[in-house]
Amino acid sequence: MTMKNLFLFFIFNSFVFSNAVIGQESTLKVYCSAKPDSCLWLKERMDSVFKIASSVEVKSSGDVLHLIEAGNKEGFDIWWGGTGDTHLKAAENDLLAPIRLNNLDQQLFWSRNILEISGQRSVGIYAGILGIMVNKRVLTELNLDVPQCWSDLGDTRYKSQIIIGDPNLSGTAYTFLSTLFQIYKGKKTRQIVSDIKQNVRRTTNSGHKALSPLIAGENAISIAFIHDVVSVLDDNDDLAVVIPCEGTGYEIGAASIIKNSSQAKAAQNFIEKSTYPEVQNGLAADIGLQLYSNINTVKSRAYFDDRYFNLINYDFFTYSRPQIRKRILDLWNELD
Amino acid sequence: MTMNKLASLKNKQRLIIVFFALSLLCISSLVYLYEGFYRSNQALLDNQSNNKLLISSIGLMQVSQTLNGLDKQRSLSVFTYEYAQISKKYQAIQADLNAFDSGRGTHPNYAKQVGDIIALLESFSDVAKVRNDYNYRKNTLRVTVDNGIDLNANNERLYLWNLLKSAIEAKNLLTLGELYRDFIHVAELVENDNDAETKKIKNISFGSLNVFSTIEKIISLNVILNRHLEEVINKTDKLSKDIVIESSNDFIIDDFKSTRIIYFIFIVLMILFSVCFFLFSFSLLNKNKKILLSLSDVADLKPFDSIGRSSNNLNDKDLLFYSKIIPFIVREKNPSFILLDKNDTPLYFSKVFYEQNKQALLSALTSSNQNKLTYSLQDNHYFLSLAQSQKNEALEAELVQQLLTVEVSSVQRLGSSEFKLIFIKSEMDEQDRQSKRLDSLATITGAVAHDINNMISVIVSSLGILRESKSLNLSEDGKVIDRALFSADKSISLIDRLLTFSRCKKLAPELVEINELLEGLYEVIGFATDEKVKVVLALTDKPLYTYIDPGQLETSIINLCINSSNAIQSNGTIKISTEVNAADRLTIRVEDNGHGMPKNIQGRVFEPFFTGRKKGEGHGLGLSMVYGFVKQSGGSIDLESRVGQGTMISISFSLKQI
Repeated sequence: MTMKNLFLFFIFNSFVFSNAVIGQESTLKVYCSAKPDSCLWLKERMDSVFKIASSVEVKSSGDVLHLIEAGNKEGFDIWWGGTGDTHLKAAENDLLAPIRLNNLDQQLFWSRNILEISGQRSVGIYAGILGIMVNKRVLTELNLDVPQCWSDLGDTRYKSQIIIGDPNLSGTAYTFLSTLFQIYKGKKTRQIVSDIKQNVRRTTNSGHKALSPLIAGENAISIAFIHDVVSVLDDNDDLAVVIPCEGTGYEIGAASIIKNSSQAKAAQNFIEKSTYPEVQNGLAADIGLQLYSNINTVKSRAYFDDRYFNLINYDFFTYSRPQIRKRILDLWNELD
Repeated sequence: MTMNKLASLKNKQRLIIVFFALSLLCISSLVYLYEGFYRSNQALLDNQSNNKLLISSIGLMQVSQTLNGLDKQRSLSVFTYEYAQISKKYQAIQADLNAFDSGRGTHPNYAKQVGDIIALLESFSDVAKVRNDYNYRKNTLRVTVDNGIDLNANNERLYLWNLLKSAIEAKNLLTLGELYRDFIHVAELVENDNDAETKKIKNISFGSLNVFSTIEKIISLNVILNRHLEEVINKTDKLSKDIVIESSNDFIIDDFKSTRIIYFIFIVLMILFSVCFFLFSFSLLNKNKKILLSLSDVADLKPFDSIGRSSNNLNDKDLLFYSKIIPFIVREKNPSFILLDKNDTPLYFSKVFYEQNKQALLSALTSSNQNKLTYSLQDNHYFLSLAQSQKNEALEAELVQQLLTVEVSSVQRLGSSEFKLIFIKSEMDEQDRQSKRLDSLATITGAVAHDINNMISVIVSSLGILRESKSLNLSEDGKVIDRALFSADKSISLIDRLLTFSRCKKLAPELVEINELLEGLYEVIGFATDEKVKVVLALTDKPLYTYIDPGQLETSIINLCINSSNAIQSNGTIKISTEVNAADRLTIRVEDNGHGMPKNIQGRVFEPFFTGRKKGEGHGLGLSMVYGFVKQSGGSIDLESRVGQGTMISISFSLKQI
């Protein structure tokens, strides 16, 4: 966070506080499943630029899904951020209200695609690309090559060198598994996933936590979204990102209106405004560093390198289906 | 029946069992072979149909692989062509399976499942067609962009053309999105340019069907088509797998295994049956050994004609007759029998009976024709006598020579006919019974004699003290006491013999040379026996040693000689002989030519107090004492006696080799 942003933060924070006291009625209750910094930025910008007051509660997408499945008892209006598959699942279970964006033509294809496959209930806000994170120093010490493909991760030479999030709990790890399923179909997936699991030393309860041991040089390989590691990459020459030869997957963070929201119109406005460059530029350039949905938003500095765009045609619809998700996780959990 | 015969019969029984087991094995092997042939035949037939199934399954796998390849190519024209090909393949497989399903009703309807897959494939052909259109559009755009790059010199425009080119090749929405983002930013720079080149770029990038939206559509449709394709592939793979599993199930589990199990159960049952049969027959054989022994031998019957001639060969009629009497024999469990006609004339003797009484029967055969055999069945005894008609007319009587007297255990009438089957009390049984009776008698006698002996000892010693007493000086008193002492002494000797019989007497065995002992005894025997009786010694040349109580042996021999002497009414001879048999046993034989004993009392002569003499002539303890002594010394005693011919008693002991 730059000094300028910090300054703005203080200014707007005091403004929002006073505003909230005056007009509590119009305050939108927002679950934010993005990074806490991004959530805070969102709240500030919505208030300062568009004069939309909101109370933001940072919760993981899984938690939000559970809360709205339980009937949204706290009366939240918006669910902003969080992996697309949880939003799609909520949409499928009819827990979300329809959205109609006025600036749809400014939304990039994937954002509109999410809106389409969710039945006009979720809009894609940001996207991030999955990569293999390696600690080159550790690999050199072990006299090992840098893995170039997903299939390399199953090589017995990398035994106990992989630490990733638990796919049952981490969106990053689940995206990793579903990417493998989409690249390798049928029986081959099972073999590759099994081989990779053989090399996994341990799993952590979030994708982000899996990076700490890698940075500390405890192990050589992990999986991460590139925007999450850019700042670390800048500071640490030992670390590098590999985009696997088979192509990689990506995530889309979405935003939705929770079905029984009392301020559906305001909520729709909030989401529409959150797709404006005024909000997204800061997020893309400095905070979240993801790729944002508005065509006019600046490109994330994390993704300037074209080599990151060796992507598969990720099927968000299929891989958010509960039974597919269960099948993938069951396979992972059953493997030794 | 001899041991040899028994052994041969056991061998026969074994042979029968082995033969039976072998036949069972042969039968089961034949059954197995037949079953095997049948099954392999069936398997061949099944195989044929299974092969059809498997071919269908392989066909499905091939289709699945084609679809996988198609998924990767994502090329429209190829897809359209392939789609038709795949549809055709599915239809061919469906036709095959249709024929197969109708043949076997129990199987799941595979043809229908293939039909479902075809329907699914057709359901997204529309999507494929739409994508087809977009792909044509994409090809046109690609040509335009490629041409544009060549014409261009301006940096910005070149960049835009390159972005458009990349966009055309984009495989996913995220890449396309970023290309579009870049495109918009750069396009802003040339927004005000009105040259044809820029117009062209604007045209194909912002028009109604611009590059980006075209590619977006294609990518989205690709996702949908891939999803559908995957569904079709999964269904195809699953069906193919199901078919393989079912056809392998058919082949292995249903037919082959069950046959094997049945065969093994069959074999196990056969073995169990054989073992049971063996055990049962073995126990049955043991139980009814004698009966089976006699039944096993068809020649177990000696026909006897009315004049007493026997022939060795049985004719068919005899055998038929024999079969009728078998139930009676089995019921009686007695192999010793005689078949009589209505006049009590013997028709057949059982072989057992014949062998036992061979001598008597042979003598009947060898007798002259004038002699006449007479038979009678009286008081549970069957008599066979040889009547010799006397020439002496004055007497006009027949001299009857008793050949055979046997005790009858039961008489069976053969149905309504006059024939009778009489079962003879077995000598062996009789001997067993007698020996048992003697044993129990010995036990009782021993106990009683022992007690009386103790009491008499007290009496004798008391009398002895009284005799020596000074207060009894009167001769009358002394005589009374002497009489009492005499009687007591007699009682002691009596009891002594009883104790010997009951084997309670303490023996003092030593090494004795029997011949020497007998020679030494000769004179004593002379005194003990009647004057008219001549005693002959027929001893072996070799000295015979044994370990025995010599005093008791002497007493025994004297007792036997006294008995023999008593049996000889007029002049007669007592012959004492010794011999050694093959089994190294020495036998002392005392034989006389006295009146002999009838068979029915022979068994009882060893009983104490049994005597053939008049009351008062003897105690009947002589033979009992001998019996007890011999048994106690580990020997055996045999008695052979024939009425009118004499008696022979043999005692045997084990020989000590010096």
